[in-house]
Amino acid sequence: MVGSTKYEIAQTAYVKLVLHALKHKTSAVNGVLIGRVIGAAAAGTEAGTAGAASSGGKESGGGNVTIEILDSVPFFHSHLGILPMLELALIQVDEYFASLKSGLSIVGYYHANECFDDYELSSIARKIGDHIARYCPQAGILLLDNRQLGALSKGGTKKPVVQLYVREAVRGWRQSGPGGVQSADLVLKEATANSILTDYISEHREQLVVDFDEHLDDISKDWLNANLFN
Amino acid sequence: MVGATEEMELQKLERDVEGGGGDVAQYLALVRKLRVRRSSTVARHGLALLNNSSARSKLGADVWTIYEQVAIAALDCHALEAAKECIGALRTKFPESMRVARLEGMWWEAKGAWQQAESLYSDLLADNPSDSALHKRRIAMAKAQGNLIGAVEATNKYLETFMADHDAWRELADMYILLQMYKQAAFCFEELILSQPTNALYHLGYAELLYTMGGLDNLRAARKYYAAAIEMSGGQNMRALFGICMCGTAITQTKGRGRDEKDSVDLLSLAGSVIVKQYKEKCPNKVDLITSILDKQLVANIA
Repeated sequence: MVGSTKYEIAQTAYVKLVLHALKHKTSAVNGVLIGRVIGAAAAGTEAGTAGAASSGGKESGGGNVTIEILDSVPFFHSHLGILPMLELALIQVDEYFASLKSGLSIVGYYHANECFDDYELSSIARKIGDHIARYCPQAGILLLDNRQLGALSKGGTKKPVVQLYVREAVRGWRQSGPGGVQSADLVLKEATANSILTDYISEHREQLVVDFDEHLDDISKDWLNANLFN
Repeated sequence: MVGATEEMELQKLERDVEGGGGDVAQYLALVRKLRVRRSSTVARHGLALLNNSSARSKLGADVWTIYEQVAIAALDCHALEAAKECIGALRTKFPESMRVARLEGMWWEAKGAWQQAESLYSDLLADNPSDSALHKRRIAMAKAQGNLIGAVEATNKYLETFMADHDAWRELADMYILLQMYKQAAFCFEELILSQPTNALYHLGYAELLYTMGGLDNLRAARKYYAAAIEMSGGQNMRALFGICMCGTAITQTKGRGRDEKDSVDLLSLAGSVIVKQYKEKCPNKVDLITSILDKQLVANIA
């Protein structure tokens, strides 16, 4: 592997997904990450193109790649392993961002486990990640890290409270960082992200997050969460 | 599973209570009736209520039920000291009670002291072998320790005796889904449908599992169960309506060319038009998005 891969997450995307997890403390939650890929090998990275995307052994050889994660869409807090509504959510989100014509598409997946001390990436998460990676080969998975989240409330940390997993050709999803995939890294775009998150948590703003599950129960609720950051 | 009207009533009471006014006892009673999990609110306001001696004296005999409810909510929020106080009050009032002993077991569980909890439950079960709640605590402990297979085994054994326990069948289905054992999860839903054939949500859950398992036969069956769910819910259930559309597309993709069921297109377009009508009413900013998606699906089906 020649270049490095940087995943840069904007605070909109980051705060939203953590609040989603906090709203449903007693269950696993998931959602997708929206953004764009910069610097990857040309073809096959357009929004929604299933075509001849580089799969298997072809990494983004040569240069450095940045995956800008600009937004996230919360999906479910129940029955994460069930297919029909997941497929529907992916179709709606894909279609929505394609219609904006802003070059944004699904670039990743996030997941938070049900149990407090479960730090493993479950097979359901891997499968969903695989599906997304078929359309966006550089897709990343973010897994909520409860230890880091706990540290946040105790006295501030500059690190994101999620773990990044990237997909390798042979070994599948592996954690980034020392001991894992060293050429991939997750950074917070804004230095203020964690302090905004802490403030929002103290205001109980997680109660305002709407996910796709809630939208299906009451379609007047909007999974775009347009007013979350007002 | 809570109906829409009850959910709205609950949310209103919750808002009142959080705002400082409202009848805390009434809110707590509704939470108990609906069996929902609102531990943070229940613990905070329940404790305030119980620590206020004049308010407490107005509760009458209900006060002990509330102590139990608040203790459990406190455990859920990991407020172990507060829970201990509530359990202590109950222990003083009911010194020989197995129900209070069970709460003490839950306290050990919340602390993560699995051995203590297990030995306490074993002793209690020796004297009370038909207490379903004790059996369920053991299942909960297995699940909390990440032993999903053990929890599944224990639940299966529990259901051999308590086979009418719908919640347990639901819980077992959930665990099978986590393990991606969809056929077994579907079996649980079959049991639920047999016992409550008019419950739309069971038909919906079964349909979703059939879809997940895939294959032409399962998809066709899924469509039937989605249709049943729509009928039973008076066409209000959005998941079932979308489910029909998803099935239509999946069936066509699985089958390839050659349509033999013309009425399935009618069902599809009917579901589609109901969906669009609902979106026009309640979510107008997404009507274009939904119409575009449904049109694509319909075209793919006719082609």
